[in-house]
Amino acid sequence: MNEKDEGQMWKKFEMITTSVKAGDLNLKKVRIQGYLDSSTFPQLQEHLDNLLQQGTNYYLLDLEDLTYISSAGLGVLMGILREVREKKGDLKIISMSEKIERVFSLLGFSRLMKVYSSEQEALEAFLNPREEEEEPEDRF
Amino acid sequence: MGPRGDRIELKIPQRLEYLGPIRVFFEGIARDVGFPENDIEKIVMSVDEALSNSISYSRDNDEPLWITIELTLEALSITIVDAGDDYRDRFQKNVELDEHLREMRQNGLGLHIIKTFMDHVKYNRTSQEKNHLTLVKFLPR
Repeated sequence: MNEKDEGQMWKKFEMITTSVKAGDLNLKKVRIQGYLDSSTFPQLQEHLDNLLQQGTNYYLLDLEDLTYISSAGLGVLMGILREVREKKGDLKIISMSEKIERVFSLLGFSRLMKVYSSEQEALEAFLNPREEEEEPEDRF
Repeated sequence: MGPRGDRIELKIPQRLEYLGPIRVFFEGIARDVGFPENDIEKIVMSVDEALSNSISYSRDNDEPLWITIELTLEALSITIVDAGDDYRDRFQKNVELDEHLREMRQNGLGLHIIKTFMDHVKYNRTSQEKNHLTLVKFLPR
């Protein structure tokens, strides 16, 4: 067990952020690894808040290595989505396990945030935005 | 898990850092009992939401949380006991999911998740000012 300090025990959450371009758009790609629950969501919240303050309004979230998400984690995603859309930006998600996809679908999040199967597809969607209406699918 | 009728009691500190290990524990219990994968995920998520709720609304973080797990021939029953504020009003409130999504609300889905994912959920406030939240999942037939 790697204990950094009293508040870090058992915390298994990592973010890797890179810069990506889609045409003239400057995006931040955030790869989330581990679990996003009540203990770890503040890290993501703070990180995305900082990026927003720095002027980033386009985000690509890679959730391939996300092993668990709670309502707190979903709340962070909802919050950032609301903020970027208010600023005429957007957020797209690439890759998600079936388990996380089921949670998204059952709670209706798949209506708001489309999941793309590849980064290339998501980047093309940033350049060619279109309205998507999709009924949530109860996969449980 | 042992014979039907066994009761397990857990006493846990009110630390969010323990949510991960507790999820692993309940995943193990649910799998051992024989729930299908989808139900295991629902049980784990519901317990996680309930504990997060208890810790978030706690009046005294030094007070431990108690979890009781009971298995009968029909169901797995999990009761979380905390000494936080009465949250009957929040428990009884129904979330309008469409409205929640349309307004892009950041909070308020925890209890909705529990009520959606579990087969039966009961809240009780005792005279000793404890909250008892019981989550029940019926065993597959």
